[in-house]
Order: sequence, then structure tokens, then C-alpha cells
Amino acid sequence: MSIAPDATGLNLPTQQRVSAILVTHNGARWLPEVVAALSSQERGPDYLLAVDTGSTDGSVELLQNSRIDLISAAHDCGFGAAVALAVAHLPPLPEVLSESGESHHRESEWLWLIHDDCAPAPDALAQLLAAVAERPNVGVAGPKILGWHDRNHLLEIGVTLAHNGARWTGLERNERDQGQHDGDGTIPVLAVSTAGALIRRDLFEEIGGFDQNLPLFRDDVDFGMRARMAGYAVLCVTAAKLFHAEAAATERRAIDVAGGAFHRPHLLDRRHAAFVLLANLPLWTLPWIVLRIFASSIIRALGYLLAKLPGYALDEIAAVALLFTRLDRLRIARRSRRKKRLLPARVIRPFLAPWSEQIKLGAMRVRDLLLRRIERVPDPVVGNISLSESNGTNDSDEGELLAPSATHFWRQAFTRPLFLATTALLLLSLIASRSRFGALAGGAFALVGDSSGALLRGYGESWHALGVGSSRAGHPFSALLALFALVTGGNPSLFVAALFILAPTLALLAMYLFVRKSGVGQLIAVTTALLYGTSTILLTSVSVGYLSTVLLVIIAPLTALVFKPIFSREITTLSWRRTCASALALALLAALSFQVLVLAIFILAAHLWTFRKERDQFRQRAIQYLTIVASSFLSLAPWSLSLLTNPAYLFLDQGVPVALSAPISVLTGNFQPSDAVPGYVVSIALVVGVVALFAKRTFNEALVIIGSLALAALVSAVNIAAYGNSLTSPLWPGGLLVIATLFSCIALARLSQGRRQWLQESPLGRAHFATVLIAVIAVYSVGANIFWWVAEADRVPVKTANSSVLPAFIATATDNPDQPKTLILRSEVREQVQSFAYVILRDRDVRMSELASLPDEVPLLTKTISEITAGVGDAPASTLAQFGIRYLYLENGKRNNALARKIDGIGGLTRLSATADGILWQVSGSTTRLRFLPRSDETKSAAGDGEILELPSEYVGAEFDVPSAGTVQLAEVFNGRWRALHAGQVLLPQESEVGLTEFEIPEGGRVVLFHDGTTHRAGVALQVAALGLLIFFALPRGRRQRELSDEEVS
Amino acid sequence: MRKPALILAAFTAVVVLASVVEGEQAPRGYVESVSTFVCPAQYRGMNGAIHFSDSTAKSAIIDGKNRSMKKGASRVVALGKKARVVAGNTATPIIVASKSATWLGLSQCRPSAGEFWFVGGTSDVTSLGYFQFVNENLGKAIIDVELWSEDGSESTRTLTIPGRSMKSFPLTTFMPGKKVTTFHIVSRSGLIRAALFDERRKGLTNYGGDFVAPAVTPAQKFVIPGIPGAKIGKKSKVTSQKLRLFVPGESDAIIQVTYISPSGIFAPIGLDSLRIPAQKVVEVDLKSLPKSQLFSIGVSASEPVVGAILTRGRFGNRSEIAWSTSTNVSTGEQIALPEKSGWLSIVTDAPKVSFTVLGARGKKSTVTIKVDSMAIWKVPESARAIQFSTRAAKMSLAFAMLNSSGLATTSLAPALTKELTALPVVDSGLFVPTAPSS
Repeated sequence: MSIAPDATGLNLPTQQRVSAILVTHNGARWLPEVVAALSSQERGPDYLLAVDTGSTDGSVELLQNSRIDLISAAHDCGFGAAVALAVAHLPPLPEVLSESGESHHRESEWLWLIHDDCAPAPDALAQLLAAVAERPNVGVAGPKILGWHDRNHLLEIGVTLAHNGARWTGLERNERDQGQHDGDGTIPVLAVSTAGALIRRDLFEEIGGFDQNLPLFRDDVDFGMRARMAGYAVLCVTAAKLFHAEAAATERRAIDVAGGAFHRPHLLDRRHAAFVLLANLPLWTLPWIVLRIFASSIIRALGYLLAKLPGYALDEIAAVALLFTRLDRLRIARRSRRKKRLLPARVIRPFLAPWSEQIKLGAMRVRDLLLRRIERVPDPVVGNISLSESNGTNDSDEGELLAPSATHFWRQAFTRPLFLATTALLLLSLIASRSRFGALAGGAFALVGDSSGALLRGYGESWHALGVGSSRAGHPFSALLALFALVTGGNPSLFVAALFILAPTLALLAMYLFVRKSGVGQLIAVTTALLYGTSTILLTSVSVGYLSTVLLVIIAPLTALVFKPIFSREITTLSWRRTCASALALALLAALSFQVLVLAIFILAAHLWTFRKERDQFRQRAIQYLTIVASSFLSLAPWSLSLLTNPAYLFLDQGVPVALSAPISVLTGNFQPSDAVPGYVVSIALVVGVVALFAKRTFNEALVIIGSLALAALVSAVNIAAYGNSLTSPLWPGGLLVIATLFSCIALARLSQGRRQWLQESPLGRAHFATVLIAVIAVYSVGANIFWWVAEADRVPVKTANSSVLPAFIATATDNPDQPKTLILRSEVREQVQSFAYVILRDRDVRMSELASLPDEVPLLTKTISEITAGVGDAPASTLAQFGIRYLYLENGKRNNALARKIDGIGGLTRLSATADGILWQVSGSTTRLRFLPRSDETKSAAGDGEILELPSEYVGAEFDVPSAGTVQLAEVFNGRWRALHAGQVLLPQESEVGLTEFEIPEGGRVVLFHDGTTHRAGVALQVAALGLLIFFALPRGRRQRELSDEEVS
Repeated sequence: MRKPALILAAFTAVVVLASVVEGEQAPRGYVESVSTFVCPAQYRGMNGAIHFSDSTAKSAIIDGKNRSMKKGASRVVALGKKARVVAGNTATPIIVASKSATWLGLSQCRPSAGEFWFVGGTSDVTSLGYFQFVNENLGKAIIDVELWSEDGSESTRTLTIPGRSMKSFPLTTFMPGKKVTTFHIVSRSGLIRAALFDERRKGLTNYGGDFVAPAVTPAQKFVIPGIPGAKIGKKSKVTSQKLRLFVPGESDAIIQVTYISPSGIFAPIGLDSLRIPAQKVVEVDLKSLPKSQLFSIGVSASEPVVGAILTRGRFGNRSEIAWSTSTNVSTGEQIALPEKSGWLSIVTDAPKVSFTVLGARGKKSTVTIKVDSMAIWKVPESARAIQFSTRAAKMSLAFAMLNSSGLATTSLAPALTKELTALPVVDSGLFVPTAPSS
């Protein structure tokens, strides 16, 4: 039946005949509009034929009621097959004989393919025909495809393929149609969607229609390619518009085609993508294409896994696997294409999506994603009001939009409080850092090393070649620092130098972000952030060198964003995703200071207590809180597990211990570490905490402030000997003070909100005085802190330092297979008694993050040093030699001349050099790390062969040959996990008289010495597993196509 | 309102608790170390003995073999061919040496040190004197001997003393022909004990001999106690008495000499503003001083200076010399005495001094004497040691003896103090490199 109107307004060439083919499959939802659109065409098709592929939803009735010619096909019949069926039903074209006697068609007949979910605009067909009439070489023409629901949403202007076979439209996500791609009305493309495609019937028949191997998806691209190779042009006519619901691709209906395995559109899509590439591209490129398909599907599968869409991930893999099980189809497809090809395959090359475009689009998507995150910041309502009241400028979003001129923008930018505060603080930081450029050291801060890789390797080792050797698990801070340092190209030293300069600014920005997200006004947010950026604990930590506390100050507000919903009153059920994200954030904080984890346990327990009346809630929350604490604890394995046996170290922060003053002064935030902070520098935490306690809305914050301050006072009252130190020293309460400061800033922001108005409206009273008091203290704190920070910057301990404790030539002299050690000795007067301090080094300095792995004091060595400094004892130098100590370096040579003479007198020490910096002796005898002592009875028999043999060793393990039976001695403290592999046997270590590790080797031969780190590796594996799971569950879940709203997809 | 108050109360309680339980730094063991005394060896026909306060003192000869110290059979040990090391936890041993019918010498065993000043000796033809350097330790000692004479600075000699050994050098090998000499011995590495002996003979005439005790390091003020005067013995005659001075600095020094005797202090005319040229050893004649039994000299100078006094004369029936040197002021002395009669000179500002005298078989008696700047106590033959209380006033001490062998004096060095050092600690603070020294 023809539904074509009799006459149209367009002056069309009469010889063009159009047969529209409508393919339907359960499209009743869209069909009425489709039929309506077809019948309202300005130039309608000459003939309309519908093919229904087993619809069950009333589509057939609908078509019959519309009196459209209908052919029924099987329900698993693909689109291509349906069209082929329809074409077979079309009447043949009348042929005429030309003057030369050849028969040809008088008219050119076009097939217009219509899906049951696409509606052409009224002038669509007319525009298409107009375009093809002028271009006789056109074989296929398609309309511009727009969204069904959102009719400005540009979906397609022709399609092509990306290099991995993905369908490529070259459009941005959610791109609006503003005619930006229209050009002169036609765009030469590789292919057009079958929805609304106008195809020459003779072309269709010539190249055999759609490939039956592609029942759905990618048949269009394949057809376009073949048309191109057959010498026809493919056009997108932008004046012709079509609105498409893309029901199958967006999972709006079930896939029902033959071979549509498991009804999975994603799988079909991927499989066909690969098929099209493999069937059409030149043979010599196939290996490369196969490789690309494999790689891209694995990467995409991983991506889907991370987004917790395992179905899609499986589709990716299955698609490739399924494709390669039916290679015969591919062979047939390639053969038939070769026959019908007129032009070589390279003609389609220019139409494939260029790499640059793909990367550009990817980058734009990431940018969009980030922008969307930022846009979610709540509109600054309160702040703007107070701001416009206070300084008369209107900086609302509207104001910005209305200010397009460049000068205005800059003026606005410069007068923005955040910009001003950030710039000012950055400038002040630069001035204050005048003596802190380059490699830093001093106070609590040792060197950090130059390589992230070395830090990570050290973290993974079970035996640390530090001093006399240690099997203590590395601190996770080591790994964390290595990761942070990736920012500076894997150079931790550079990272720290930059961090110490930028720390106040970064802290300010982090705090600003946090308070703004909490809906606080701009001016208050900037003030709060400034207070935080110049907080006593931050400036003190930078000055004294508590790197982990500095990082904590910057990271804490950001992680607070993660924790916030836990305590939010609006959210009653806590999602598991939030739980895992919180555990991850807590693990991060605990790696910086374990004090935070301990405090978090208290806070979570207290919060859990508030649910005690709601049984179900209580149980659910209890499990989740336990998960948070336990999994963050496990994320710090194996180090955290070692705390179970050594709970005293729970509160020990990373750093060389520094002297602190009494617990009372911790409350002021100024505990005078290393006597570096003058008394006038004070923290606001205590005052804010007390005031906030009396305000209802900040009561909870006040509890945290007061609680963490009390805990900090307790912690700082404890004296423990840090790893590798003989003397005890007070604990650094940095982690707790950071939390106290953070919460006092939050409390202050909350108290300030709307304060002004409230104060104006209420009669003069206690509140006014409290406000004034806090304001004065806040202003004083910022002023005093900045003054100290800038004015006395070069009087603080952390400064640009020598690159090494070791004199350069020892560092090179000890960097050989002997692996000898150096003993650094310092003479100092402590409490009016001459005392000596020493450490043992290898060929390099000890890195900051290795401090937690330092070995314990060896009493024998201490006694030996005592003898050396007193100039007594029987050959104390030989004990040094036994421990593999080759050099003795006395610091400050000028001042210690008398001591040096005494040491000279001790036998077995030869003075090598003496400078003002220090005096160096070499210990005589065998000072190698690994030595072999032949068995005594064999020494007698083998004349002259009974001497100690020095063996080469690696940094930890070793591999060497021994000439005979004897003892292999490792000049490191005894550890039962050392193993020696000899003649196929694993030998266990013994402890020597002086406490070294040694092995009895029964006979000569090859020996491999290694440290068995199974337990350590198990701990690291546990950590990786815990972290991996937390990250996996904390990441946002991707949405399936069918979960997207209609408006989003089309 | 009640809730916040309660919380604040709890908070205060916790903070108070924290300050109460505040941990102290864990105490660290201390090591008490006392250095050892080193006594020189005999030399060229010298006879002598080391006198301990009792027989419990442990000692050992210094040689390459063993270092273990043993108790001796008696409290007197003869000077041997090898030097001897004595454990430091005893009274400072004293050495009485003589050469038959030639001289009498007194010295003390002293700890090894890195620096010695010796003002004394001569390198001219009359000199039989020598230096003895003892290295008690295992490592070798390298020392510089800086030399000055009346002509100024002489070239420095560098000597190596192997570990556990001793070396003697005649004074004439250092700067032949020089009459007045001063030595500064500085160790480059290791510690040594240096001893200087001055003996003089011209032809067949013996002039006598004595040990020269090390002088105090250059100072602007020092005391030389216990100088023998003409009245020390019945047949005594002091022929010359000279104060040898040396200014090691670059500028000349103006010095003032005060005469200190049991009857008081005075500044002799002519000795109250002497100009001493720098870098030259000079002698100042003390002839004009009044005659006395024993006296002392105080020197104050505008520049750091070292000094000693050489007394020459006839005592009994033979010529003798005696060296008196400056000494450090000290408190709490425990000094062994040779059980021979002599005189103890005490120079102090305190009005009276008490000390314990240890006699034979552990008999103890307390002596209190009045002091007017200086006191002389006649040491009885029974005295084996004297001990000043640690609370005693600061004083300078000297011991003098006169017998048939001759005259000898020695200043008494402060006793060894027990050195208290803390047990060494492992301190990760040493991992922190220091700021570059610019």
C-alpha cells in the first residue's frame, strides 16, 4: 500500500523512486510515532513495506491497523536478513531499452530503511533525495540522527570505526546540535546508521545486502565500508533529521537475534566490531589488528571490573573468544568481499577515526567528569550574603556570568578572598623557606632518599641492611612516601622540599574545600582555611621536620570529606561503599600517624553508642565500624601486626625523636620541640574547644577537640625509646593535635556561620564576649604564627643540609662487595656528664622512612664503644671488626682532640684523616660483612690455608664458594630466619659467641645465603589484598546502559 | 550547662593525670673511668724506687706482652729498665731517685696526656739530661716536640713512639749548644707520658741533677710552690736561683713576681714589672730575694707564660740542682710519700689546712696547720701518704727533700679525678646531617 501523498511542494526529479522498509521487533513503545512520522513526510516514500521479526508486544496489530504492507519473519531474524527479505518482496524495476539496445532501469530506485524506534523529521526524505539527486556517485545517504527524548542531543552524523573496532561518531558525550557539524549540508562519511539510511537498490543488490553474520550492530559500518570499496560515496545529509531511541544498543529491549548469544547486546557489539575490522581490512594488517583487539578488550575488561560491571567485562572477553571460534565465517566473508571489491581497502583509511581525535575525546571525557564533580559544590549562599554585605562586591555566579570583559574577570579574581589568601600565604611561605631549598634535614627529619623505587624495594625486604641488620617490618609510610613522590618524578627528596614550601598553601586549600563542601560561606571558609594553613601544629611540624604530620595536616580535611557522611544525621544507612572508602581513608591517615586510628576507634565507639536504642541500626553500624577499623589495620600489615606484640609503639610517629616540653604545654599546641618554637606561638584548639562545648551545634566537634587534646597530653607524657635508640624520649603527639586543630577550625566555621546577624539581633551578653575573645585569639594566632614562621625561619632545625652524614669517600669506599660498616661517634655533654652517642651506617645514609626498621642496641657494641672512648679494655677494636665495622668516624674533630688522642692509643685503629668536621680511623683486621673461618682441625693439616677468607656479598643475600668445611659468619646480629643453601640442603643458622649469625658448612662448595622472608611476604600480601579489596569496593560502581535515564542516552 | 562542665572537669583530670605520670627519661648507666699513672724507667746508673701509699696498688711493666696489672709484694717498687703503669685508683705514687754521691731527684708518676710543657734542662756541653717518652697504649704515638731556647724558636722534631714501649733521647740531640731550653710536647696521635731529667757535669765536676716536672699550660697567673732557700739545711748555700720564663704567644709580656713565704707576701722591687720578649726563653735572677728555708713565687703576666725555677748551690758537701715548677691548684689530694723526712709546702688563700696522714700499718692521724699564704709542714719519716679532704681549699703543693744524696724538690700534681661518663647511647639523631658549615 502506498501512503505517499499525491503531490509535494518540492521539485523533485521524477525518476527517483523510494521504497521504505520498516523493520519492527517489539517496538510498540515507539511505533505509533514512527508511523506518524512516516506518513507526515513532505515527500513520502513511493512504497512502504514493514517486516516484523516475531514481535510479541502488539507491534503487528499496530502495523495492521495502520494498513501497512507487512511481511512476518522469524523472531531470531537479524536486521540485515529482514531487509533482504523485504527487498526480495519489492516489485522489480521496469526495464527500458536504450537507443544503443542495452537494457537499463529508467528510474533509480532507493531503499529507505526505517527502524521501529526512529522517527524521521517531516522533510527528512525530501532532503535526502535532494542531496543524492545532485550526486550521482552516492550509494548511501543518511540523515543526521538526534535523540528521541532530547531532540537537541546529537547522536550521529555518520559513523566510522575507532582503531580497536569501537563504533566512532566523533561526537562528544551529550553534544548539543547547534549546526556545528553541518558544513555545506553534506558530509562524506565511512558509513551511516541503518536508521533512516537511503540506499541505492542496485548497490544493495550488487554487494549482497547486509552481512548476515552481523544480525545487529556494526552491520551499518560494514555496509558503508563495502559500499565505499565498491566505488560509491556515502554521505550524511545534515539537513535531514531523524530522532532515534537506540533501543537495542541502550538495552531498552531484549536482543532476540540468531547468534545473539545470551541476549547480551554488549557482547554482540564487541564481537561484531572485531568482525568488521577483520573482514574488511587488508590481510597484511590483520596480525596487528588482532593484537589490538586483544589488548583493548583486556584493558576494557579490567576497567569494567573496577567499575564493578563484571557482566560487561565478561562480554569483552567472550566476544573475542567467540569470534575466534568461528574463523570459517570470517574466511567466507573476506572471500565474498574480495570478489565484489572495486577499490582497494585503503580507500576507507581516511575515514577511520584518527588517534589524535580518540585521545582528545578521552581527555575531554575525563575533564567533564572532573568538572561535574566540582560543579556539585553547593552554591555558596550564606557566604555570599555576608560577603556582599561586608565589602559590597557581588561575586555570585550570576555576577560572573554577567562580567564577560577580561579586565573585569582579573579584577574579580584578584579581589576574591581565596585568591588573596592563597597568594599571600604562598608568598610568605616562599620567604619563610629561604633556608629550606634543596635537600633538607634537621630536627626530627633525616634524609628521605632520591628514589621512590629504592624506598619501595626496601619496604618489600624482610631483612634490612641497616646498622647491624634488622628484621623489623618497614613502616607503611615508606611505601606511601614513595607513591607521593611520584608527583615529583619519583624523587622523594624533591617532593619533600616542594611540600615543605607549599604545605601551608595546600593545607589552606584542603581546608577551604572541606568547609565549602560543608556549606559554609566563602569569607568564613577562607578565614577558617587561613587559620588551618597557618596552624601551630603545621608550622611546627615543618620547622621541626615531622614529615608525616605535615602530610597529615594536608590530607586530613580531604579524608574528612569521606568520613562526613558517617556522622551525618540525614543518612541513616551507611553504604558498604562508603564503609570501604572510610576504611581506606583511615588507613591512609594511620600510615601517617597511628594516633589517628586510635582516636578514630574512640570516636566510632562513641558514635555507635548513639544508636544503642535502635537495635538493627546498632548491629549494622557495629559491623561496619568494625570493618572500618579492622580493614584499615590490616591495610597496614605487616607493620601493624608487629604492633600487636609491641603496643608501646602504637603512638610513635615517624621521625628522629626530639626533645619536647611537659604535657601541659601540649594543650597550647606549642610544646617547644627542640626549643625551636618561641613561647608566643599558640594554637587556638583549646580555647575553641572550650567555647564550642557550650554551643549546641558544635558540641560534637568540641568533644573531639577536648578528647584528642586530653589524649595528646597523655601521649606526650609517655617516654619510650624509639626504634634503634637507647634513650627514651617523649612521644610526639602530632597526629592527635592535627585532629584537634582540624576540628577546632571546623567548629570555628560552624560557630561563625550567621553569627554576625545573630549578634546584631540579640542583646549584649556572654556570647558577644566569647565571640570577641575567639576573634582576638584567632587573629593573634594567625599573626603570631606567621610572624614566627617568616621572621625566624632560619633559626629552626630543618634546613638545607649536607647531603650525607657519611664523608663522601667512605660512602664510596664502603660501596663494594665487602659491605663494611662505619661507626659514627659523637661526643656531647648531656646533663653535665660527658657522654657519647653512636650509630652504625652502611654505604649510605639511613632514610627517614627506615627509622622504624632500625635494629635494637647491641649491648656488646655499647660496651666496646665505652672502652674505646675511655681508652681502656683489651683490644676493643677487634670487637668492631667482628661486627664488620671498618671505619670509626668521630664527629667534630676540632673540639674532640683529646678524645681523638685517646682513641689513637687504642690498638687496632689507624687514623686515616683528620679534618675540622671529623676524624676517621680504620679498624684493622678483617672487617668484611661475610667471612669464612676454616674448621680448626683442618687449619693444621692444610698449611697456610687456615686464614680467614673474606667473602663477597650483596646488599642482603650472598652467593659464594667455600674451599673447605668451616664456619661462615655474617657480621650481623643473629636472626633465625637466615638460611644457607649448600649441596642441596638448607642449613639453619647458629648464634656466635658475640651474637652474630653463622653457619656450619660441612664441606667445600657453593653456598647461597638468603633471608627467608615468607612471613614478611605473607604480611605484605595481606596488606595488598586488604588494600585491593578496599579500593575495589570503594570505587564508584559503573551504571549499565539500561540503568541510564532515557534523557541521558537519546 | 552541667554536661560541658562535667566534660571540662574530666578533661582537667586527665591533663593533671598526664602531668603526674609524666615519664622521666630512663636513666642510663654511667661508666667511671680513671686513667692510669705512668712511671718512667731508670736511666744510666740511676737508682730509685716508686713509692705507693700501700701494697695494694696494682702495676705492670710496659712491654709488648701483657697488660694485666698485678699487686706488688711491697709498697715500694724499684725503678726498672722498663717503664711501669700503675692503676689509677690509688694515691699518686712518688719516685725518689738518686745517683750515688751525685744527686737526688724527686718525681711523681703521672697519667699519659696529649700535651706537656717542660721549662727546664739545658743542651750545652754540661748537659747529661734526657727526655723519656713512654707510650703505655697499644697504638703508636706520634708526637711533635716544639723547642725554644734563648735564641728563639728551634725546628720542631717529630718522634714516633711505638705502642707499649719507651724511648729516651739525650737533651743534646734536640738543640745542641743551647743553654736555656723550653719544650712543648704535643701528640698528633696517641697519648704519652713524657719525663725530663736534668743532670749537669762539667769535666769531672758534678753539678747535680733533678727531674723537671711538667709545667702548667701557659697562663697569665701561676704559682711555683716549695722553692728551696738558703736556710733549708745547715750547710746549705744557694749559689744561684733563676726564674726561667717563656712567652709562647706573639707579643712580649709584662710580668710581676710576688714572693710568697710563711711570713707573708711581698712584691720585690725590680721584679714587679719585667718585660719578657716573646718566643725567647729568658732567665730572671732571683738573688735579691730574702733568705728563707722554703718559699714560693707567684707570677702574673700580661700574656700567657710558662715558668720554672732552677736552684743551684752546695748542699751538704756537694753541688746540687733542683727544679721547682708551676703546678695546678687542686683539692682533695691523695699523695704517696716516700717514708723519708722532707718538707711539704702548701700555698693557699685559706687560713688553715687540715689533712690526714697515713702512717705505717694503716695508722691515721689528722694534722691541722695555720696558713698565712704559705705553710711548711715537716713530713715525718713515718708518713706514707697524705690525704686532703675533697672539701679542702684550693692549694698548690710541693715536696722537698734534703739528705746525703742531695737536694730535690717536686711540685705535686693534682691527683687523678675519677671521670664519670655516661654509657654510650645509640641515637638516631646522628642520622640527621647537619647544615653545611658556611
